[in-house]
Amino acid sequence: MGELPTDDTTSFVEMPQLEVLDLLVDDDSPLAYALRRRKHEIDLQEPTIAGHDSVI
Amino acid sequence: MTDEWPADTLDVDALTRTGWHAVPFQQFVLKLHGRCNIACTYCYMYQTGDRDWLSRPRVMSPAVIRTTARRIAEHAERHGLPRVEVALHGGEPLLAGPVVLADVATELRAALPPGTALDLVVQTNGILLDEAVLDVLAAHRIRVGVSVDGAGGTHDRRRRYANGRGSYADTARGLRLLGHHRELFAGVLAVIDLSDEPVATYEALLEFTPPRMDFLMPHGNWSAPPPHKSAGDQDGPYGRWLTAAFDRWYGTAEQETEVRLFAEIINLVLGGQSRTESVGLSPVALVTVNTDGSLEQVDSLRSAYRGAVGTGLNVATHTFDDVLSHPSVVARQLGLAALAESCQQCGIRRVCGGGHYVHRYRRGTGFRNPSIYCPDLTTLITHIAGRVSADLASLAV
Repeated sequence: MGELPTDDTTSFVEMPQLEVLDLLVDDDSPLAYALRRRKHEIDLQEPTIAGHDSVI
Repeated sequence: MTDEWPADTLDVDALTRTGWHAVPFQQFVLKLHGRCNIACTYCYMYQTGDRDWLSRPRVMSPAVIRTTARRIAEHAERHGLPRVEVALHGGEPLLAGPVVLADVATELRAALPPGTALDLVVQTNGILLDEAVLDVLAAHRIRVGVSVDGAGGTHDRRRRYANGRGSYADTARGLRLLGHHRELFAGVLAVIDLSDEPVATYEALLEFTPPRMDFLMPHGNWSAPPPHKSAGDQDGPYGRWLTAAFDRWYGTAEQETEVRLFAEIINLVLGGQSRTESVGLSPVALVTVNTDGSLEQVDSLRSAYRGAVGTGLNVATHTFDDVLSHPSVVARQLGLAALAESCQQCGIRRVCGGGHYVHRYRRGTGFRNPSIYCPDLTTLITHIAGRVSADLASLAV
């Protein structure tokens, strides 16, 4: 994985160019779900809050 | 006089003068019923020596429900909240009965301002789920999360009735009924038992076809370590357990269910934020209302020390804004600044976020410590980051 980033504004990994998501249109893998969620969050730009872990 | 952080040493007034301001509450945990019909071996409510539940009403009264609904509405309106989540909890909330469940849903929907949506969920052991109860939950749009600890043997070892009989058969029956009401099914929660095989545990939970699941680490801290952990221990058995479960979940071509902890870590690895208090640095914006209207912090804090959840405030006489300035509430909204110095220097701090707040406690210093699960979190997070990183690299080729 290489050296971990120290800048809190960066992610561990390079977020792929959004065109990569086009390749995942018919992909229902956990990673594809995660990338679609991340793209959705980037688009929405809404603040995230943390909820109780004893509630699902 | 102790010197614990944040209770004794966090100066909220000074912090406020720097321009910091609280994030309004958006998740309200209502302890609808203060007793339970089973006695889990690890329960932070009833097995940790904190007996204050004995002095409280068994059921939340209609007056407390009405006042709570009004306070939530007032908070939502004041802060312009587009959505709030209300989680009906306990004890076992279904012991309150269908009339109370209907009452709380009706009061909340009547009180909330037009611009605020309500997400209403009940977290139950599933034992009392039957068609009549499910009809009431459906009629009032109350989604259902169920606590079930994997396969039957494990569940029965730890989630027992007072007479020692295991509760798995009854929980499983409730879950199967819930499976016929997909629109109500929120997911399942399981507390990890290291004596169980992680893949088998995941697959046992998967048999109920939940839309989501989560694995919880047993609560413990530096002064009262969880099972198979001791203070200063550099081993990460829970991290290895979770890594095996992750590989089973992640390795499928089609996602079988969402595993919340894994999904949140992946999102953090991708540069996002977490929606669970277990990892990440997102502000925790939840508050608990006990059966008597007492306003409390997250009740898992009971595992730290007696009285840890209390704020001294009550919904009858105080607003939720009053709770927002409590040092222990503020501490959970400070992000990186709330972490121990060693965590602030750590390479995975933004993903780990110091782990679950209650797992950082050490008697005498409080909550500004690494997690007792630090080696476990490091093992899991670096593994997930490695797999995601490798997969993204192959996609980019």
